Amino acid sequence: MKIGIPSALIIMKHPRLWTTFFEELGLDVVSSGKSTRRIMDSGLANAEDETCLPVKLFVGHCLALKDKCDFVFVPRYFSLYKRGWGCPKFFAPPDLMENVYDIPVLTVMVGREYESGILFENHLEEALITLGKRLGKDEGVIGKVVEVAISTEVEHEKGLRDEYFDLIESRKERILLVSHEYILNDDLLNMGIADMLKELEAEPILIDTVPFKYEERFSEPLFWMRWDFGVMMMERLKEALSHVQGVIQITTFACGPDSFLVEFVKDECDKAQKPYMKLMLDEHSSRARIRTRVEAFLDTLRMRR
Amino acid sequence: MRKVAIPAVGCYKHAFNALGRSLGFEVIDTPRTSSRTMRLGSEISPEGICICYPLILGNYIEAMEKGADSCVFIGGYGACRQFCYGHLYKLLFKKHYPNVDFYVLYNENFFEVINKLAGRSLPRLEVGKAFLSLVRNIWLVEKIEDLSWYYRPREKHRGDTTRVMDECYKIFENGSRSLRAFRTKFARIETKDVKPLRIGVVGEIYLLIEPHVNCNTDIILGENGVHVHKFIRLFMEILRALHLNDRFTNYKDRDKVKLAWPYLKVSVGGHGRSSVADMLRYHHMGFDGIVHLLPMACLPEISARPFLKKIGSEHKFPLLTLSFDEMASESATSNRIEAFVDMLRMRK
Repeated sequence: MKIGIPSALIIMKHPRLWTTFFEELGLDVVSSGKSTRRIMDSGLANAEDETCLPVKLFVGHCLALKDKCDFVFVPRYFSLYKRGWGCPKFFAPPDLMENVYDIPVLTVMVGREYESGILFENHLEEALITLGKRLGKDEGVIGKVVEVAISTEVEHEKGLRDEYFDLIESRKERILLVSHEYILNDDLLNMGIADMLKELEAEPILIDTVPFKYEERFSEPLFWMRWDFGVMMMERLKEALSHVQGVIQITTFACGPDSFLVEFVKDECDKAQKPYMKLMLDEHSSRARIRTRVEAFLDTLRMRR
Repeated sequence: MRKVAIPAVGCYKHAFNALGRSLGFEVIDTPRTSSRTMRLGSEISPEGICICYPLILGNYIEAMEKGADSCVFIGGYGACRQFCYGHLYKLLFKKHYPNVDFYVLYNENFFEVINKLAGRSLPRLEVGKAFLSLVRNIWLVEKIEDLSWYYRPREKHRGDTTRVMDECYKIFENGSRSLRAFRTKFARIETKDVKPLRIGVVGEIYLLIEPHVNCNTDIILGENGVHVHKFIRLFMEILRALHLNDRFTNYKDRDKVKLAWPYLKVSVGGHGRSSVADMLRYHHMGFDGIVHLLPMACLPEISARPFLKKIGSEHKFPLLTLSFDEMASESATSNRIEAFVDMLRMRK
């Protein structure tokens, strides 16, 4: 059986996990690869017009996989943490692909059903075990495979942390890039802004490499920020803010949660007196425009010293 | 005595105005939402936010001009952006209006906030009584709206119903609150003998209940000879918050889940799944078409809209989706609705 994994949106939250899991189970995995202009165009033509750019891109990735595999794997990310919520746009994709675009879908629910665990490994573990059973595998086999998959993912994240601790020692201007995983790790979406910063002799720090202690935050009473990625973003920002010289936030047009998070991030930067810039991207953005703005930002930052 | 600002949402403003007196605080009579409200609100709101945010903020600002010293917002649960509103208002108020207290009301701190507003510890019975009368008032203003939906497509002279409706609200404000009086008032409208089209309106709740932001969709539809119907109303939503809604209607929550199941298996926050279920329900009830209202880039409704389009094409059920932002104009909206209604009439 061939399983297609679209490398966009929710899959990018745990890039190693799902691929390792299916490969260890002995299934063929087809990845949709890096985003290309063609994938983007098919997404733009077929997706709902008012939704955000990453979702449109995700539709493009799924459509690209349609004829190449038996099932496209589309997980339903409700929450990674016990009291958290995902963005509503992460809930509907399996139904959307199956009922609207007629793509055969393999899906699993992450969170909500599994109220037992607090740590994110547990949420995912339950999901992986359910998925293994749905594919008709032995429980013993599943146990081993899940262990391997999660350890690969944890290893990957540890690598990111090490990278972060190296980067904050750097002598160049350290710029924190605040955004979602699926924008930061997709060069088509973020217009290669990290490379751009490197060319301009600054050191980009991606926010998903910053360490984050999750257990404590999620057990607070009357804990009002319900988006788990929002909480992660804010906590990581607070953690990294003292180590960087400037903050650039990348959002996409019509991203719902970001319209709120922008204000809170801005407030946090004001408090720490760090320069802040917001870049809003959409399907018409050009690299030159982004480069001009990044250059200007770096110039003011250097003048300020 | 504290002067409390509660956002003026559609006809419900009249119901809320009567609330405070019995509890020992005054509810400011906030002006109706208008383009000025929109302008005041959007000046200090972030970009890309749903349209309800600047409007409610504008309501607060207009209430503060009239002397309000505390503002209340009802916090939400779930995945819709609305849960975040109160906390962002708090942040903005700290910056722009530091003298005004802002309260976000949740189930957990309901009595705490009410006591703070009243300035003393209120007995629970008193709060319960006030709440019951509030719910009754909300039910009554909704009944006035229901009557207007019935009479507007049947009226002989254009505008009669709207005039009578305003009169009814005035009577309501003055304190006489009997449904029978309103009924007799409406019954005096001259009607003609027609069989109007029936259109169901689904979508996001704020858009459904606030006539300014949806460019008076109800009136435009009604005056084009359409009997409007909506499932989502504030009265039912309050009952839902208390888990009582299933006792008062035969269209229960689990029916909604069952109806939407072949298309959308999970809730997408807000009223996303309800929109899908309601559309199918209207189809079973033999309605002529659906109007779907949503704020631009509303998370739940945008997630639900592809399913609505799919249902529309599968069941040959006409659907008009209208998304509203700050720049929405009444004439553009009325043109689209008129064309839609004409099409429905030709189809019959």
